[in-house]
Amino acid sequence: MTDAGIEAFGAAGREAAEAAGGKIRGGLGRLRRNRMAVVGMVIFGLIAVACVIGPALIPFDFTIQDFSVISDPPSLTSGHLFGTDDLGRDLAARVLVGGRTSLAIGLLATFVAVVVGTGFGAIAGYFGGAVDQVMMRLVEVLFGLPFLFFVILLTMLTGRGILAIFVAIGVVSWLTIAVIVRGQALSIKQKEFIEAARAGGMKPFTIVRRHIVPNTIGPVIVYASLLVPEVIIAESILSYLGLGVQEPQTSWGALIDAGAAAMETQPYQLLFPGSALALTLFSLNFVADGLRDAFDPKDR
Amino acid sequence: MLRYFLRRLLIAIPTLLALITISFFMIHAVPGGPFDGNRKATPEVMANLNKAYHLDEPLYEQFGRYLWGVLQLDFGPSFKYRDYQVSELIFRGFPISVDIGLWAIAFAALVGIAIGTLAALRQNSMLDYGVMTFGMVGAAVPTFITSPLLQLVFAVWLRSFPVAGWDGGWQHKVLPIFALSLPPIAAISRLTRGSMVEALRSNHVRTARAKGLGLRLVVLRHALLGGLLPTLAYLGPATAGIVTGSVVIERTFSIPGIGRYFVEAASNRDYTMVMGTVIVYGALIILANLIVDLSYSLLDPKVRYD
Repeated sequence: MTDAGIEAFGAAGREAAEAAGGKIRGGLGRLRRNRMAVVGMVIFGLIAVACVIGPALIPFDFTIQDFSVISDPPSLTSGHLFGTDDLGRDLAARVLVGGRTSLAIGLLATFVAVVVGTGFGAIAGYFGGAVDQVMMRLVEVLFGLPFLFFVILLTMLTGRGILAIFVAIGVVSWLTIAVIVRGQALSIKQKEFIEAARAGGMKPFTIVRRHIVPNTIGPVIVYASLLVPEVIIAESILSYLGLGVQEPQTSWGALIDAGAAAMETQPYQLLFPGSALALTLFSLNFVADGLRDAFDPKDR
Repeated sequence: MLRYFLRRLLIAIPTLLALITISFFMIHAVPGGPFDGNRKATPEVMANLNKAYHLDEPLYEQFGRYLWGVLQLDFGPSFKYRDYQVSELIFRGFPISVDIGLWAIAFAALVGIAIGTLAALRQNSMLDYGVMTFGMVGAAVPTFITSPLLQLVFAVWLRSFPVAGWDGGWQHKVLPIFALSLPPIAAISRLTRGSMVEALRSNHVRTARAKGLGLRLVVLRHALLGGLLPTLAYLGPATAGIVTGSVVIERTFSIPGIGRYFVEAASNRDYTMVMGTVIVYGALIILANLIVDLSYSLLDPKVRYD
């Protein structure tokens, strides 16, 4: 329902709309009124669109090597707006194509980590006792597994490439979220409103879903905003070890890695992929803060 | 409380055992072995090597032998560094990694909590935006960029600290500690800010303020205590990760810690060394989580374990 529609119903209509599963809509409405969050969403949307359709608009293919322009600085006359890399490939095309990989892995893996970690942590913390013991000891075992061997085994099962990386990062990145959410849940479950819900006959899983999870949203969103860059960098390390995205395919992490090696002679090779990542994180950051404010039940 | 602590210590044994078992079979399931070097040895030599290191036995026998050794605190010989025991290598490097790591995490906790609290107190001010920008940069810039940059600025240009190397003196520790602490500072300041913003708005803080208690007292005694839970939860696994060293920082600053073994041992298929690192890291994770859980109930008296 549009805002105009709700307005037409008047105050009573608005209340009904909010009550009738309008929680998400109400949150989105609050999100839309948060100017910084909107700016963040617009910038992020532009970056995403540029990465998806941009490579088709650039006259250079991201794989074509032109040995006459090796490591050329950015220039308007040559048409290489971001310059070229050490193999003479257009850096603008590579940054945009690399963004597809990094954004996909960064956002998807973070999303999965948030959903799994929050659910797991909330259940462990709320039920406590033996359930908590078993679940959190499992988290500790997963924390301790030798990550590289895990990734190699995965690539044997799924083949090299983005899927293996995605699963590998997804499996470990939810663990810290689970620990944080469990800590929050341990504290929240002692609050009066949980007692009231329990006294009112609410089922345990409903309490977890309706009361525990929404009240942990603050730290979860903050941690998620830290997880996106971590995942993007982790992808580059795995690719560097030969386990992930392979040349000529690329990612922001891989480009930053290559740019860091040429930092002193061709700083622009670090600057452009680095700025792309930084701009994405800044915009996501404002979106994250906006989401937090919009959906935190304590701020109503 | 004491009973809970003791029970957790007891449960740590099967947890560690599960970790050892899964890891052992996992690393042996990965193709390649410790002696698949570039130089191909003759089949006789290979057979002798495999026999000497018991690699010709069935896997469950190797596992039993390894576990029996671990129970006697014998982690076996390293496959890569011949003539060295895994425990020797770890005992040599681990104190160095712990030294740097503990300083780094303590520094990060102090700075992160301080600036996170300041940002929360001045929400949406320039200070807040500045701190959060720094936090974002700290989280986004990987250590393989910050470490050489720190070397360039503080060692090459300003000549304040040595570029790299290790003699146990504090001059050699400053830059690696700082480099190591940047990512956790970013995380801690952002987590602290988020929960402090919430805590400062909560009823018990408002009540304390209304009673006329000074801002400093309210922030320190009431808001910070309850608001630190997420930061504390993060600190558990983060501390375990940081005191076991970082391969990037150890390479850049040539520090003889154990961070490099985590990557080196894996690519060399140095089975015993991998297991050694798994056990050290796993034990630290378990210990750190236990300490965090105990401090929960100190910070928030409502948290109880049954």
